[in-house]
Amino acid sequence: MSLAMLVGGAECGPSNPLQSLSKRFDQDRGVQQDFIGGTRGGSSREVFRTQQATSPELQQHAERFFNSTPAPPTQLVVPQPFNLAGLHDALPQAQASVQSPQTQNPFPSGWASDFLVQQVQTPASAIKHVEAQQDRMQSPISAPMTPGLQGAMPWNASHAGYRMSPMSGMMATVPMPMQRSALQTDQMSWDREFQSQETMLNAHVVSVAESIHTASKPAPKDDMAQLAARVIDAVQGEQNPKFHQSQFMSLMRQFRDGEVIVEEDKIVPSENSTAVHVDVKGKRRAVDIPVREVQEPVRVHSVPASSIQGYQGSVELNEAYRHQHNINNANDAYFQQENEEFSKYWDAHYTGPVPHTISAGEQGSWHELQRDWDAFEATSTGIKALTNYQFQENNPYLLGDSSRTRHHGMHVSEVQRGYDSVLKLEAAVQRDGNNAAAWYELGVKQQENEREKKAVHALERSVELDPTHLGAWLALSVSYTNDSNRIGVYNAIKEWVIRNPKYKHMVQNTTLTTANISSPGDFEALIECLISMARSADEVGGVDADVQVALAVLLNTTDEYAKAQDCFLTALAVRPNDWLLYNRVGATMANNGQAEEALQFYYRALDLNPAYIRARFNLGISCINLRRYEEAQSHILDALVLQDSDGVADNSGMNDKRGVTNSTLWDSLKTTCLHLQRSDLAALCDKRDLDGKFWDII
Amino acid sequence: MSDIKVDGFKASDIIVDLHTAFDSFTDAQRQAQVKKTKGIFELRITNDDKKEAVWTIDLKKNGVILKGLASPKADVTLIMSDDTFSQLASGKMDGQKAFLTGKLKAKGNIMLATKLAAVLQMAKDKAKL
Repeated sequence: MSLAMLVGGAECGPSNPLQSLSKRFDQDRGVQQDFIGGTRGGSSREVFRTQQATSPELQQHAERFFNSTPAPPTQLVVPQPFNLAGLHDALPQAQASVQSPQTQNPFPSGWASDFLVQQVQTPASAIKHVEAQQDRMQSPISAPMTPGLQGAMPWNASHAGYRMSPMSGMMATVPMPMQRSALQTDQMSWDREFQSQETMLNAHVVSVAESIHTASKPAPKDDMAQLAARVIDAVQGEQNPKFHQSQFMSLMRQFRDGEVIVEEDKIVPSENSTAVHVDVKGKRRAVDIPVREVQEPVRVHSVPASSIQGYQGSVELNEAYRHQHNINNANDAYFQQENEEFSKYWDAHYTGPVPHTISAGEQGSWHELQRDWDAFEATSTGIKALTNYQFQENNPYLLGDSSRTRHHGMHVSEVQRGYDSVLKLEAAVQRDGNNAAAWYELGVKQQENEREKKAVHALERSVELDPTHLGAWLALSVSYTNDSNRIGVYNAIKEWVIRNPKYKHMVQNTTLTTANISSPGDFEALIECLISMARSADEVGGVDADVQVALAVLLNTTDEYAKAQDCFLTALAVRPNDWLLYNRVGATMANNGQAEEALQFYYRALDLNPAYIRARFNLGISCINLRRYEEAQSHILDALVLQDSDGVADNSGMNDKRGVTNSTLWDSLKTTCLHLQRSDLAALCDKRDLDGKFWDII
Repeated sequence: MSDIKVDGFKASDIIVDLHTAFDSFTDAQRQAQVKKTKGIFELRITNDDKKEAVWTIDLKKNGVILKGLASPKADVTLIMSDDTFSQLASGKMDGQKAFLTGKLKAKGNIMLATKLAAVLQMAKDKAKL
């Protein structure tokens, strides 16, 4: 746009910083951006007039900045932070015309001299920079036509302690003198261009603009004040303190309070306000564009904040100009101002504290998107929901070196492993989150302890980490069965079958569809496949209990309880001490309406593992179905106490169990209490109060 | 509770249990069950003494169990013996089989009758594998 136009025709190397700058601004940001460009060009060229003394410290920075410039400018070098060479190459030939005023006034500013020196290829440029700086310090000059001076001027805003990277400062600085030089030769066409752009913008909002614009053009004092007040009101909700303290806002307030008024095209202080020190010629031109812009936020209320920020920036320049008696250092202030503006622009564009009403909603939806996104994870295979296992807090097993005991656990017998607490397993998983076996054990334990959701999370994590972990697939299929997730069961069993190396040859014979959508036919095929696997028991050496379990789980899903029961019993013959299998047989029977027969299997399971919560709860359910409510009550209560003991002891004694106990158990207990005509106990169930009167009745 | 009870029926206990379970439901749970079923069942149960008792399971609007005839007309009327009903409730027999063997007669929306087993199981937790 404007910058690109100004440097047009220059031979820019690929690494030219100016080119990259213009690219940045050339990005497609539409009309508003055009307007910003125009605004910048318009206001800045007018405002930068006088020169200020430099504080010694800042001057040192400036010196370093300039000294690091490699001397021979014609040579194209690899870009360095302070390399201006590329810029000089890019300067248009109009620079020649700049030289004449420059020579009349040998060292008007660091910038100007720097450019000059580079242009004429003076070898001792670095020294000259220093001289220039010192010169400038001693005698602030206000030579209206000196381009360098104008480049330095507008950036004199107040915040002195501000630091910014010299690079971005330089990048931003560069256009100014160049623009100036080009403008000197091409002033008229630039103005025309600017005007035309403005007209273009206005054309979009003509309907709104017309009335207010005409009203405010002659600018009766109160109208302008009203507009300003409206602007201030409109952005009242704005949170960003930067915005509130901005000079644009202060200008608006000045308008509102009548400290300044608009006369024709100029902002002038009203009679009673303090006189502002201005160069008349500069003032006139500096002001005429910004004044119109001051009206813009009101007129084009729907224009996104980027353009408003643009106006703001330009008005700030004016303000800076007004307050030049406060100015310490031209360069520093310039960097700082530029940085500030840029960050404002950036804020407005991206984090969106935008002073118009849509932003709130937009922001909300972005937050929503972010939240939704957090719930998913991107993997090489696509995006899927993140399964997040909720660990209990303050797990004591995470403290100290108890990981040792976990390691031990791998070597102890099956039976003893049953006594591992959930917390211990959670700690093991938290220590080594990528251990599929640890996740698997945690999942199975959570199944035993009647926490299906957590079990599913843990097992899903396990198969995700290690898809060849067959036990996890099988356990997952059991969990899915309990959740009545038929498709999940089907897929889990299928994975188990396909990945089972023992039966590779058989799976190849059958045609298992790879589609994820299951139909009854698929179930049949899978069952057939499993049956043939079971029949091959002799080939592989004895009955494979896992095949029987898989088959039984599948049959459970298809409500063929009698067959499922047979399968579990067959598996049980191979593993007579597996309490999980005893419970599964019992549950299958109970679901088949044989609650009475199921009891003995539950009892057997509890003999093998007294802490087997699921079996205890199933026992309670069967007792309910058999109308043995008092028995049921004590079993369910036992299950609840056991579940509760999995939790971290809570010193505060609050009822916050963080889902340690299961609401299903509480609901069942409540139903049982109601059957016993004990609504007082049912109320305790609603409160999840384990310490209540329950102990009196047992 | 006693107003629902009819002496001499095994079905009576089942119905009372179901009623208790309904009582323990929260409003949200009850509404969920109503949404799932959307129908009024009228149960005419004949016991061995050839006596008939009638209950109504209203899962169309309120989610309640009453003794007696349905006050708005029932969507389906199910006629069966006391034994058949207890077998259905315990899950030992499924409704379709009972219907096909003539142990259960249905008037009205027969498709809705297939939901009866689910209604009777609704108060019961399923045993977990």
